[in-house]
Amino acid sequence: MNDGDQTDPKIKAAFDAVHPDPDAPARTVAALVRRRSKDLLVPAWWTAGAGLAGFALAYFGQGAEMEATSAIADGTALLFGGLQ
Amino acid sequence: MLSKAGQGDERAFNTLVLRHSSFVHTIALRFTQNAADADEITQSVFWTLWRHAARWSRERARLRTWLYRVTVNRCIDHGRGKGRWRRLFRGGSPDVEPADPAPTAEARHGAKDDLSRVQAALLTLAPRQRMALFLVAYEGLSGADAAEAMGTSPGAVEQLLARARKRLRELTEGETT
Repeated sequence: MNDGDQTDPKIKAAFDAVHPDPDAPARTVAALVRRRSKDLLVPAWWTAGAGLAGFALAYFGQGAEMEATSAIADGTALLFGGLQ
Repeated sequence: MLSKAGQGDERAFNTLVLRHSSFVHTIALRFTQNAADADEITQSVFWTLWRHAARWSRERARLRTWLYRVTVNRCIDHGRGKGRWRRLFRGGSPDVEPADPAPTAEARHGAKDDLSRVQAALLTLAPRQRMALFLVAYEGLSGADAAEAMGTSPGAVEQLLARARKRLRELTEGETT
């Protein structure tokens, strides 16, 4: 591994030519906060969507006599069952 | 702090990020020479930490060591991913390990001095070769430590270094008149 003795100072200087960014930590925190909130939002949207789909099925489909609340519960359970 | 983050305490986790992300970002920036890529790698490393924080608090392993290893491997993966996209659009052999296709503007317009010539040449190296060089020549790690960080053998690191140095010599000496 010693054949680079002459070039290593140049390589070091080349890697060193970019300077650390003092704003990077704050930017990383902000990006992760956004990502976490998106992560929480996605299941919420899926749950709401499944509930609505269940409601629509019950209301317009064969099970029109089903109560809307149980349809929503069924839709949500279906979704989570499917996801697992 | 880590155990609090492991229990889902976002403020504790943010403090951890503020404390350690400079270190991760600087490695990624030096390796990629590109601020946007360094941001992406840093976020990905800390997202993984957030996902595994609960396990971390139990194991109490050394966080810095873990961050270092994950950052090194994310940098390599990032370079490889870019290479894959380039091959997809331009065609090319899947057997050849890709080089980072994103040289800086300076590199694209022709290096004028020694430093920028080496910088440009570094960016054309395959990601694993560049990382081996970064760890040994810049960070001053031994071959064995570099191998551990990269998840490979010391022999493989030696080979990567030899190929990287040969390629660098070809690129930098070829341009001198």
